[in-house]
Amino acid sequence: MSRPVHRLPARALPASTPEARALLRDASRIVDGRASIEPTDRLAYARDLWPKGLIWARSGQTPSPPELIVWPESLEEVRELTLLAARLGVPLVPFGAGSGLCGGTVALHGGIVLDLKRMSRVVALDPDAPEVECEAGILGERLERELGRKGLSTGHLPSSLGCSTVGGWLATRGAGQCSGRYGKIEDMVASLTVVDGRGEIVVAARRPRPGWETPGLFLGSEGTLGTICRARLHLVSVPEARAFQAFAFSGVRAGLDALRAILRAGLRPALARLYDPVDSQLFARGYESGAVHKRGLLRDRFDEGVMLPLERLASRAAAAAAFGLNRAADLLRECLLLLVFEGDSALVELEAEEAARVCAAAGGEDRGAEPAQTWLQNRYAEPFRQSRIFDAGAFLDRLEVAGTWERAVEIYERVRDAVSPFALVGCRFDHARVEGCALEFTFVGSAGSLEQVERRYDDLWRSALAAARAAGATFSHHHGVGVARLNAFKSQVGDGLVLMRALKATFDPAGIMNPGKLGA
Amino acid sequence: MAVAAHDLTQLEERVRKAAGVPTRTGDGVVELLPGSLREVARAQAVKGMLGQDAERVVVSLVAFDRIEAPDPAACTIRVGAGANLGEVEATLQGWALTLGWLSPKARSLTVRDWLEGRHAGLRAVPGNRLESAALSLGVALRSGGLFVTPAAPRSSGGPMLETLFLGRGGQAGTLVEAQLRALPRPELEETFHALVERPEDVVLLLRGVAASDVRPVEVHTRRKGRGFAVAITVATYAFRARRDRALVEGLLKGRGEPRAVGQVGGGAPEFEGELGWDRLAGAIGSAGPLGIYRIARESVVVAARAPVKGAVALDSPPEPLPAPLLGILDGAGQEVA
Ligand SMILES: Cc1cc2nc3c(=O)[nH]c(=O)nc-3n(C[C@H](O)[C@H](O)[C@H](O)COP(=O)(O)OP(=O)(O)OC[C@H]3O[C@@H](n4cnc5c(N)ncnc54)[C@H](O)[C@@H]3O)c2cc1C
Repeated sequence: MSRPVHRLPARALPASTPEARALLRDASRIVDGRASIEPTDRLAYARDLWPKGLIWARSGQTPSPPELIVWPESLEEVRELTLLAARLGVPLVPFGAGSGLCGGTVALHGGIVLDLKRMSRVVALDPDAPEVECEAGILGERLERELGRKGLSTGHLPSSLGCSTVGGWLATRGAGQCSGRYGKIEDMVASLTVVDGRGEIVVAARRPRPGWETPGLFLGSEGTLGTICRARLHLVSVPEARAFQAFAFSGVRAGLDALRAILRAGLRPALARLYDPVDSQLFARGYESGAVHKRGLLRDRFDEGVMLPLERLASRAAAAAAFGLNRAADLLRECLLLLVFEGDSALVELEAEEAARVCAAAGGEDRGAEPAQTWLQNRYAEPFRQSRIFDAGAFLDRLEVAGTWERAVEIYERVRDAVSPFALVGCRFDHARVEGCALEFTFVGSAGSLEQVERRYDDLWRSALAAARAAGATFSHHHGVGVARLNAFKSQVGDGLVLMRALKATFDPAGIMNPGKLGA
Repeated sequence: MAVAAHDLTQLEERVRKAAGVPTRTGDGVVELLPGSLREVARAQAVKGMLGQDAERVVVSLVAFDRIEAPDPAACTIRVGAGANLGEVEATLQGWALTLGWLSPKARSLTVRDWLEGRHAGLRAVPGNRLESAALSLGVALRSGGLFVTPAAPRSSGGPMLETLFLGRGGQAGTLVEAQLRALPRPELEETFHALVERPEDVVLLLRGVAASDVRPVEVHTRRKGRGFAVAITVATYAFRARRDRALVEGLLKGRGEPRAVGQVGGGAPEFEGELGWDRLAGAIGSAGPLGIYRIARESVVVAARAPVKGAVALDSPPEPLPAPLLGILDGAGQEVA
């Protein structure tokens, strides 16, 4: 069913058809006028934050635009809109905040985009369980603020907290920065309320509650089976205390050994992130120039320390230079490990002491608390400055894959080698668990023209995903599949695609939900 | 393609050729003896094509009870689905690892029964969460193909398709092999005793322990006089043992009277079931001696001499998958055939 993304010059956005205008009338009746076929809206909802979409935007093109955008306010409205779409055979694409990095919201077959941000109520908060039931369109930051007033948190704090919704987290199986301790979003779900493609309301609850529809079937479904309207999530207490540590290791292997030993010792850091030598250099610039941590100054230091060097590197990382830069980076050795422990103060102190002992035994050099403190203060700052790199005619992207510990070094080396000819590449080992971790690669590259940038970007992704697969990694740890990783998804799932098709036929027999995605 | 074979030897020859795996006959059936996941899938596809003769053909999984040595880096272990959990656990203990603190009945299951049955391979992990022990599954699909889930700690590659096999009783396919996650075995286990007044106090005590980041692994309670005797076993590490002990003792003092209460556990349980927290106090109050295992924020497993009200028996059949969904898998199987 999938077909290539259409790319239209932005100015040539096709005028709305009579069918679209009729659809607008029908939908408006359901949502009390909260619907639009305006070109500006259709343009705005034509993409998410998939860097390829940014490259297209800069070259004045837009991927296949939706015909209509609607803003429902209730589960009942979502149900009626779904029934309307199913009756007319029109695609329906759920839209959270559009912060996805894989093109998940791109309406490959046009149709209706369902923006859920007006469904943002906290429905119930049970501080004893503790659990919250909320609507799926609530932005992470708002939910955390409301929970924080009661001393609670979901524990799910992605870098995109301010620009992503609960529904988006669930639909992509996202990970917060502290997922090593609190789990990924799928570990937090007690139940989901979904309007499926038939317009039926499905409550998928964890056992021992009855019903065959368990949350796992909808988690990660990226809008292809239904619209997640509500979620009931388990909560944790806001930590009473934190301890910050940093250790330097000579080389990735030594750092990984220490990371593993920390988890083996029964420690449960909120953050345990090892930067490879390239990332260590880039990250280090963010805090090395002094010890002042006043608000405002930090932001400037982050720009000067991290983003400016990245921009400079990006422009230098063109064609031949990328390879040379990566080889030069081979001479770097030092890897920085950041640790943050949180919880009650007695335990935090004990865990930090034990971690220091484990790291010292593994040859780590103590770098004090500052690097990890700086990380915490900048934890949500990084995302919003990347467009400057695209403005500079370059590209920046992240690939997060995951594997078990015995494969981590091979995954690292193979992906790095595969990407080296195309862009400067750094990596951090994150979301560490007893059995393995995620490897989050950052690429910064450029090429002569936007067309060349796009070609280079595509070649890079193909090589990187093939290398990850060959080394035994899974192709996505928390950003989902979307359009960017559709082929990787299909080849990993293999014969299992029939399962996806069976789910699709069960919950969305008319094939209206985000068609063309997830191989169904 | 229905095969009308009147004679077992003839049938055996036919299926051996078609499936390309060794066979044997006995008790009026032909056994196909595949040795790999791929062979299981092929053998099942052949069986699926036999029409009424399928009743006389069994795909045997005897070859899939092996237990490999654990991977010490990732703390995982590869096992055949027929392996016994008790033996898996014994192997892991030699490496200072554990599958998790399972309920008494779970310990005697095969890997297949544990993963495909109501247990769904769930165990409580630090943070008091439930997590499936299956890192990766190798399944021969009902539709005839193979499905191997990626061996990664976590992923975000589409819906969690493994949940069509975990706790589903083999409806969508046959589990053949698995890579299981183990946990580092904490250095210490310590049991604390107390006498409390009401069943609700036991629940609050347990919730308090779990919320303090202490790891309760097993609890026993029984009526004693006008109150309830409780024995809580927690697992901990040397570096935090003193803190955990002080915390549990503090909580016990707050909720009751810490003191030795004699034997609390009550013989071999007949019944094991999964129970939500909202029903736990009722179960403590009305059941006889009760064991509480797999203690997680989602639910607990209770073990008792008789069925516990509100608990879903862990040996009851799993929820049926809808017939249309299974029909699609069968349809795809016929296409493959
Ligand atoms: C700077 C930056 C930093 C990021 N950091 C992280 C991070 O730390 N961790 C992480 O996991 N991700 C991160 N992301 C990626 C992104 O924020 C996540 O994928 C997020 O979960 C998407 O949420 P959203 O609400 O924006 O969803 P969208 O982008 O709007 O949608 C994503 C997909 O989910 C579907 N969808 C959305 N809502 C629903 C619903 N209610 N029902 C059904 N389907 C739905 C859409 O159709 C689409 O397929 C980052 C992104 C950026 C730009």
